[in-house]
Amino acid sequence: MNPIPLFFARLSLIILFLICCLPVLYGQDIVVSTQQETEWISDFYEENEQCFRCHQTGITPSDELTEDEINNLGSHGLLFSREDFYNSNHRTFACIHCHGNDDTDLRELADEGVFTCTNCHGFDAASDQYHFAEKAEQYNKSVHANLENVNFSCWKCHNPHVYKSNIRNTTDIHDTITYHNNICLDCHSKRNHVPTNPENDSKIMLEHHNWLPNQPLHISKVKCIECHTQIINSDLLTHLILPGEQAKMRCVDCHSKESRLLATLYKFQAKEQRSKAGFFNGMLLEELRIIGTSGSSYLNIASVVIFLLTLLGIALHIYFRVRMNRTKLTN
Amino acid sequence: MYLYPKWIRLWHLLNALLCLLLIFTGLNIQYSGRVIPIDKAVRVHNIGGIILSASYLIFFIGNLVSPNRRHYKIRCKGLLGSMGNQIVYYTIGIFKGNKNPFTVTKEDKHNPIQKVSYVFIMYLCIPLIIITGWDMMFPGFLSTILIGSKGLVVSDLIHIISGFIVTLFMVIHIYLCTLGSTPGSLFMSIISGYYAGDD
Repeated sequence: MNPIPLFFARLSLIILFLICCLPVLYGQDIVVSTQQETEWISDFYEENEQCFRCHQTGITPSDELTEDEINNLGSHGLLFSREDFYNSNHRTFACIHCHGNDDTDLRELADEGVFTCTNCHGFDAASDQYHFAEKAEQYNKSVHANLENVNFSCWKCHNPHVYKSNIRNTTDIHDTITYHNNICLDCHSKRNHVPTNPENDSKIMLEHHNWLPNQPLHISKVKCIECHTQIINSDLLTHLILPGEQAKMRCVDCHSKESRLLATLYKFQAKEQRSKAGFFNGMLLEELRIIGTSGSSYLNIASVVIFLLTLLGIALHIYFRVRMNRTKLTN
Repeated sequence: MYLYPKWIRLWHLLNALLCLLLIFTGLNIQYSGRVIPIDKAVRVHNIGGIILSASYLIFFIGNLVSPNRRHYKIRCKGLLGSMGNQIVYYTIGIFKGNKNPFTVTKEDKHNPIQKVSYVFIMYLCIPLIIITGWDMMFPGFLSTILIGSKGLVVSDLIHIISGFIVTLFMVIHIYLCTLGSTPGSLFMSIISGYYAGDD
């Protein structure tokens, strides 16, 4: 026999209906509409093919290149994916724009020094919008700057042959997160050991993050740098990477009205949502979108008020009980 | 009067300890490890939640197969009136020395207010907390399939609101248990099994 009476069966149905209505408020997926990129063919395609003859991932030994030479190129990071290059930010370039000129002996190019981003981007008006000079300053204060003695440079994360700025043009925020996190995992996983820490591998990386509730969900939905950088409000993607022990570990850093994620990763989406849902609705959604009640100041205040009123009620009840007992004793 | 069989007392004790533990660790998670570190709070909360689920199954099945279920049956007829009488007694009558309008018997041990609140907590709030808790422990299944990508937010809201209601219930429940013939008599009843006073 079911102990729940009809009254509560009806009540449960009403509550179930209200719960089903919640997605109308909170269940809307946020879609960032951006212009779809079309396939693009470089003006220098033919020219670049001369380089890709030898510097392309997956090439097989031929009369031009022995297996040892291919392995040697691979071990020095000199093999590139043609597809990744033509999807990268630098896809409009010819290889020789950066690697010498028409007179350069191609075989000597590898000996040239490595550029940093600011060699080209730091000091021209067109680059101002990307704040390269500020990023260079942030980088110099970051933990990564200490690794320069082991050949760390901008290239480690932003290899100009393949790097594609993602967040401004994304149609799927999760693709962006995966893309960015893979940059970190290139070093901080067993795929490619951090030079200063040969013991590091993805298992250790996951162990360091064992404290995270729902670890797979957090790692797939949040960029590493959200917790491992110092937030700078004027900069969407700060490059001030903090030492591991200074990483953010408080839930409310993200799960609150002042969420770090709203200052960076979801900043564009938050603006988009506000313009779609109206300012007030947008604010409510913005508060609850990532987390839940813990991030809603309205619900937090309501819960504290209700709890205090309950305690006040109990205190009054105790007071009147004590008074009644005294009266009884007196009589 | 022997009112609380051994299994009820053991379950009640386990449930009370688990609720206190889950409220404490839950608050620690919500307010980011103010008292104990967040990683420990999460681990203890998860283990506590799993044990609470098992404990709830014991309660649910125990109530299905034992005569204890009769104490959770609510007759709608006259319910509002008897609830009103009980509220008047708790808020006014008790201070005038009036007699409790409800008499505890072996057949009917919960007064109308207790009955409604116990059923509300045990058959609505606790199941909601357990279901949403499991949904957050293994995200991407239940609420995501039913509601969509924001399902976890809905689960989170229901979990925390239900948790808050259970917290309020615990505070009021413990206080009302001091309204026996002596402040400790009803606490002794749930330990010994013998009811020893009017509430």
